[in-house]
Amino acid sequence: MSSDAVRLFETRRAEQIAARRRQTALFGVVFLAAFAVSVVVGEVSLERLATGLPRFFAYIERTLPTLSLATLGADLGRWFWNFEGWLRLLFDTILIAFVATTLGVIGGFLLSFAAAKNLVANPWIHHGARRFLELMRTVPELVFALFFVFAFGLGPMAGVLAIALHTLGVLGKLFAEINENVTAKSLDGVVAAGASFDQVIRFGVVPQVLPGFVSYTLLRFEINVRSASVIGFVGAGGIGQELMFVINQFIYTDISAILLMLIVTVALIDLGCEKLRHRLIGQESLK
Amino acid sequence: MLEIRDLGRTYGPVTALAGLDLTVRKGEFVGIIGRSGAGKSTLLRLINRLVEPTSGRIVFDGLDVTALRGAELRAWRRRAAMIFQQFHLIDRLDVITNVLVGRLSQVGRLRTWLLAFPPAERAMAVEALERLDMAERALQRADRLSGGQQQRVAIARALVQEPDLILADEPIASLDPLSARQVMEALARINREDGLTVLCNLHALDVARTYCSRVVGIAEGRLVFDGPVTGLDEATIRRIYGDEAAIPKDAPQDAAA
Amino acid sequence: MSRPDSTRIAALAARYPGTIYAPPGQLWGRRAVVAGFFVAFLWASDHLGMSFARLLQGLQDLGIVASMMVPPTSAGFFWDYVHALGETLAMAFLGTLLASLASIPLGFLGARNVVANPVIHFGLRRVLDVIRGVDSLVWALIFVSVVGLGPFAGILAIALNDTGVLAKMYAEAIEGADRKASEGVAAAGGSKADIARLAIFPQVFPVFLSNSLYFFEANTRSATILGVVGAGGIGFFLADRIRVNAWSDVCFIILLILPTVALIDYLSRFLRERAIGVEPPAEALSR
Ligand SMILES: Nc1ncnc2c1ncn2[C@@H]1O[C@H](COP(=O)(O)OP(=O)(O)OP(=O)(O)O)[C@@H](O)[C@H]1O
Ligand SMILES: [Mg+2]
Repeated sequence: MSSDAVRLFETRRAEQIAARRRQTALFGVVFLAAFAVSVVVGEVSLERLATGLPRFFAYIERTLPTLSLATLGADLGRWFWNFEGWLRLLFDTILIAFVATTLGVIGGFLLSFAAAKNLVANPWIHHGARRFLELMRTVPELVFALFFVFAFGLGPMAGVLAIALHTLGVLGKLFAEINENVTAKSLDGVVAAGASFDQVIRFGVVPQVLPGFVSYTLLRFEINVRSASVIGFVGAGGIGQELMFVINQFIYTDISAILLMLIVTVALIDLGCEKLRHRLIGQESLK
Repeated sequence: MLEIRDLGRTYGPVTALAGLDLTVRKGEFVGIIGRSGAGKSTLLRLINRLVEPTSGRIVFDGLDVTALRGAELRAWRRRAAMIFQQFHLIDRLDVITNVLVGRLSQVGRLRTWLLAFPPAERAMAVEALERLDMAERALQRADRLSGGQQQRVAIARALVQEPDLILADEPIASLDPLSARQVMEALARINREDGLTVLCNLHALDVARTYCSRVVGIAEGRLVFDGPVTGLDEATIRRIYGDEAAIPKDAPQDAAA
Repeated sequence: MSRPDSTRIAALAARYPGTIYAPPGQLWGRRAVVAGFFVAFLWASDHLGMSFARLLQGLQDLGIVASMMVPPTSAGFFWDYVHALGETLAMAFLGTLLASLASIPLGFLGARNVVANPVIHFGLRRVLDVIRGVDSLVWALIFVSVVGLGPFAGILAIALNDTGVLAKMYAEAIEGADRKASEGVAAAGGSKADIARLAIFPQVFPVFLSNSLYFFEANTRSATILGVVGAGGIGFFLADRIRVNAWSDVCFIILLILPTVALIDYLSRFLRERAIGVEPPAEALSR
């Protein structure tokens, strides 16, 4: 009798393994097919890769300025000949990210409660809010920027609104998912005391979700600084327009100078946000 | 006076409560006993309207509680303060703000959003905490407190609601014996000093014997006993707890709310 | 209970300091932070030339654009659009694949618990910072001048930028791996390579996979715009039609993009939840 059980177990196991194998094989075939099609459609060839990569490194090399120790000051001065102008553009870029992130967070914050199905009983409202957030998230900021440059004219306002709208979508969706993890327990205590809907949100939800919100917001701010640096490619403000100009005109050392300034800025903001994130989340006064 | 008529609630095929009639006079301390799943929590939640009834009516001093909507419903909830087994405090907020949740319906919307409660409201919260020996802890985070302390904060929250009723759903089921006694003493004192009506779900019979002037027994969603503690004889107990729990001197403490 | 009068309030405030009136330092500190943020936001908005008048005017223009979008038309370009969309998907797929493959060895090299040498660790992390600090659109622009117009430039741009992000995340995942397994392999006489292969890799592989899938999803979205700078895909047509104000064509293109992106979203989420069961970290999700 026990050998029967063993045999049954063995056949079950063999079936499971076979099913798993079939699944893996199927996945492999699909993957390879996707790969083959992509290589053809993407116009990839080993030859292009072999010639392209050396050219890329040559390109990078050409962007580097000639610096010598004897004339370092003058060399640096020549490399960063437009330091102040670029700094001003960089400053604008950060401001664009700042204003856009703020607007996006406010919008995403408000909509995230409507989009959480544990907070809003009406399915029309939370589905509607969800779909809207997903739409805003799907459309890249640059596409919004193309539209907004047409509607609001060239300049940073179009960029701010574009990044804000996309941020609203990304953060709103993430916020809503955090909201949906709020326990009924923490809501009941506030509802039972006679609080209105917005007070239930303020006391039953916000304290619990705020650390997550802050974390995502700071991460997003850093990403938005990067987005703001290219939004100028379509004329929506920031340092992007200048960057595109020097790349298209092959003004090599300017490319490296601007990119270097950009990289340092992004790294500093990355560092600052990381510090702030850990401090705020560790802190209890965050209400 | 709280009058409950033919109150019922079903969850799909499950009948949580059926045809319950109960009248509670002002100032009574009523213990509600029954085994796990009998419908005790459902009854209290129905009174506070956290749960909607599927049949019956609840009337309080002539006010039809079951018909209330919107602002009137919220006003009723303030008058029928709930205390939960798991305390239901907001972990990340300090004790005094948790107590002030009981004042939300009395304070302007903007002030509540900014957590800027007026001094008079804050003083009221501190006084309530003082009555429960918790004022020293007013500025601590709620999740830093022991279970018994958290439950006392929850009682303070109920007090500042200036309620007519206190609905306590197994307030001591997650507490150690000493904390449990402190909490029950606090409820008894409030009942005595403020003349507040208390409805208290309990698992343990001896607790009901000690604190309750009147006991209501529920089994499978129906009222099976209603009378003074002294009326609780062996046969009645068996009717409430079922046959297998023949000697439920100290009924299980583990079941969740 | 009743609301206390002023003498009782004063007595309570004296008995329990800080409960009724917050310490002035704390109160004004918080107010200063809020006011500072508010002023900064308003000043930045003004500096960037944002105004309600412009907003209203622009919204009106957007309304006109929206009315000109219907009915959507393909104007005989349907198959060109489909091909460009295929390019977009191919770019996202190959770019993510390349980046994922490159990031595995780089992740191990950049993890402190695998490679103890601080010079390698520090150097590699800084190089990754540089790659990451530059948006993929900038890399795309550069690759267009290196390998010419077309999807190949887009693939390289995605691959490079994502390597910077993924390798860092992989390194962090490896550093966060449970140490007990490593100690077990070491105790059995395993070498450093054995530890990496036998103890760490099985732990972090699901995280890697989940990350890569999420990046494929995010890259599908961002690959739709690389065409704006000539790096292949549907973005070329989108930018072109917007530039010439052919709004009904724009609408048609967007209606092609949205379901495609939604499909990839769905597939990626399905695989992440069903096959892997691990969510990527917050850094990835906020992208
Ligand atoms: N939200 C719900 N959905 C479905 N069924 C429910 C729900 N709430 C309660 N019930 C059911 O209603 C019945 C009564 O539940 P109730 O919580 O009132 O019991 P109780 O007497 O409080 O038990 P306990 O002592 O375990 O807290 C149980 O059978 C329970 O399964
Ligand atoms: Mg219960």
